Amino acid sequence: MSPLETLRIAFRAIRANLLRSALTMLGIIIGVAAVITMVALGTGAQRQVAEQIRSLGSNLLLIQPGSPNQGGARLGTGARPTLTEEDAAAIAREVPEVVVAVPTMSGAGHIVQGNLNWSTLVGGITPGYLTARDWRVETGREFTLEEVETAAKVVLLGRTVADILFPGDDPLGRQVRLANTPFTVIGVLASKGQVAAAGRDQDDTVLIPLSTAKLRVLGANRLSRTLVDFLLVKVTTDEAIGPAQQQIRQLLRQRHRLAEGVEDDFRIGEPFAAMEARAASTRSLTYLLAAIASVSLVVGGISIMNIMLVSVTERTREIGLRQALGARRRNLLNQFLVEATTLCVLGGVVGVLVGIAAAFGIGAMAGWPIWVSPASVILAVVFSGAIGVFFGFYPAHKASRLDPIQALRFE
Amino acid sequence: MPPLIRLLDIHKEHPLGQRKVHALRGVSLEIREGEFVAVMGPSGSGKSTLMNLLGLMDRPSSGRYLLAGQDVQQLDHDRRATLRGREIGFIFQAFNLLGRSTAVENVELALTYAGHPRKERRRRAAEALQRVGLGDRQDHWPGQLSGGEQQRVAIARVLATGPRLILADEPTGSLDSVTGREIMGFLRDLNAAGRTILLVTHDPAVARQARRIVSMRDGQVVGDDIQAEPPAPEATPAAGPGGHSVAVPA
Ligand SMILES: Nc1ncnc2c1ncn2[C@@H]1O[C@H](COP(=O)(O)OP(=O)(O)OP(=O)(O)O)[C@@H](O)[C@H]1O
Ligand SMILES: [Mg+2]
Repeated sequence: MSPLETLRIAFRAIRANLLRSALTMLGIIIGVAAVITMVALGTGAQRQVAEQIRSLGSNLLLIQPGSPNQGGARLGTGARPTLTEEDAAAIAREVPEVVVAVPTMSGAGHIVQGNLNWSTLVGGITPGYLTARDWRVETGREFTLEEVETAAKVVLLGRTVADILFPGDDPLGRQVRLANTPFTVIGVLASKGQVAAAGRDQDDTVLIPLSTAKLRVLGANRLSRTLVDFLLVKVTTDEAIGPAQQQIRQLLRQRHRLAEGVEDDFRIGEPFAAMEARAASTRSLTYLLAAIASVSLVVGGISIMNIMLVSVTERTREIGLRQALGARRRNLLNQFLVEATTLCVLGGVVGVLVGIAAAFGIGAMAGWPIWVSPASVILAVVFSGAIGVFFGFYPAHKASRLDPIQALRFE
Repeated sequence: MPPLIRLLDIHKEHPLGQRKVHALRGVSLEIREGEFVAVMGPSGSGKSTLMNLLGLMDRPSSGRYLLAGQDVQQLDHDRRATLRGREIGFIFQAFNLLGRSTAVENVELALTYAGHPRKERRRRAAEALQRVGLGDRQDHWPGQLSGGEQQRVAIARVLATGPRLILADEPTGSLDSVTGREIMGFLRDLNAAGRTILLVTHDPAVARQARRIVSMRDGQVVGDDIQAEPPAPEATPAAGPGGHSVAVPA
């Protein structure tokens, strides 16, 4: 008998007892729906965090002046400045795990274009900054080394600033005034989007060469020409963060001539460590919830087995008749096995649909991101099928072992 | 050529709680291909037990059963099932149709297990239903058919596979005499076409239509008569119950 034939018989049996079949499937439906919902919510949250981290720049270390125990100091307004451009150069040179080390200054700035003006965050950077932040120039170009060395009056606009100062216009090559100094726009940065976790619009910023910033915009009341606000260091991989941190600390202590026992005059932090930790805990919570939900799948499987046993008993005479008409053990085994598996797969498919609907419902109500991965859907359906085979086997085996005459005479 | 059926000193004991019911006590019997045999005897004499053994639905406690010269005792469960599906047709008192399958699907069933392709099955099943006059009832459920019609579906089920041996255990037992005669007409047609038929009945009028009557009592064969007079010759009708006339009135 062909598989299609067996499937047809299974569908007929399921249809013949529609209400019972539906109730039998309920366990599987609920189990699968629960797993799909949990995984969709969990994966959605995970992807959101991962997306945020990616947009801020991954594998970053932030080195700020001040003692590690000081705490509370914020970017740019740090304690007594201690970090220099040379520190950055030394880190890049001597710590192998470091991809780039960028000395950076930042501060508020007022930018004017025609009769439009805007207050924004001004970053004084070297070319490595964009690499560190995984940031692209959308139109135009980056700073050249020469521009950095000669303190050229050129500026890169964040998307938001470009939109405000040049509504519906191409800002490339145009002039803006920053701290009363004319700057030429050489490029517009790609949008990083609104990152809630970062606390502010990443695109509301302008970048100028570090040298220019010191000379003309942010350097006015700074103590020294070589000091910077902070260093941004990008390391090769996630695993390299720890070792790199150790080596940088050694190097800076040495460079700052800090004696044994004197505390650091800088702090090394992972700006997004908290977010990464959140991503990790979300991930484990997702797996935990999915595991709990899949227990109900096993319960669903047991109810399938129960119903199939009842069904085999009810259909004992049918089994006897089929044997009289030439059904072999394999035919009967397949018939009941396919029936149980079909029930479970149908339940799985319905469960997936219910689960997706529930996930989007919850997501819409709570404002959470949802992500239904195709893998989770396929896995859920395949797993339901496996449950059908596993829990359907015993009843099917029982059916196939019935003695023909006893089955046919069964009352 | 060996006889189609050869039974040698068959015993059958049914377990019944602690005791055993000795249903067959040394039955020896030979039936040649093409015979039409009626089995008679009081209730409990072992007729159904004998039919079940012949149909490979059950195994004897002792004795030998040769079907077309082959010792079927040696065959495993699945080989016996295959042989049942191909060579043996059953007609039961209780019709035994699948309630959740239509008439044509019921007729197809044995062909399905014999591995015939779907198209051919459908054609042969439809043809068989046509021959028993139910060509227009193919898609009816058994519940929508009368007892006589259900038994005709069962006959069609046998017609479709064309088995060598047909075992009918009180096929008219649940039917009125007119409908019973119809069914007997089909059996006679099958026999005329060369099928070997064993028929269990309590009705002497029905039994008289067979060439040979085997009588049983207490699990033994107590009489085996070849009837002097062959059953009344009949025109073989093409189709439909109307075509049958029965020589011996009930
Ligand atoms: N499965 C069984 N378990 C126990 N005893 C059985 C079983 N089948 C038959 N018997 C017993 O074996 C004996 C013969 O039964 P069988 O059904 O062959 O009789 P029968 O001639 O067909 O009777 P009837 O004309 O009433 O159908 C009876 O005593 C019956 O009770
Ligand atoms: Mg009987």
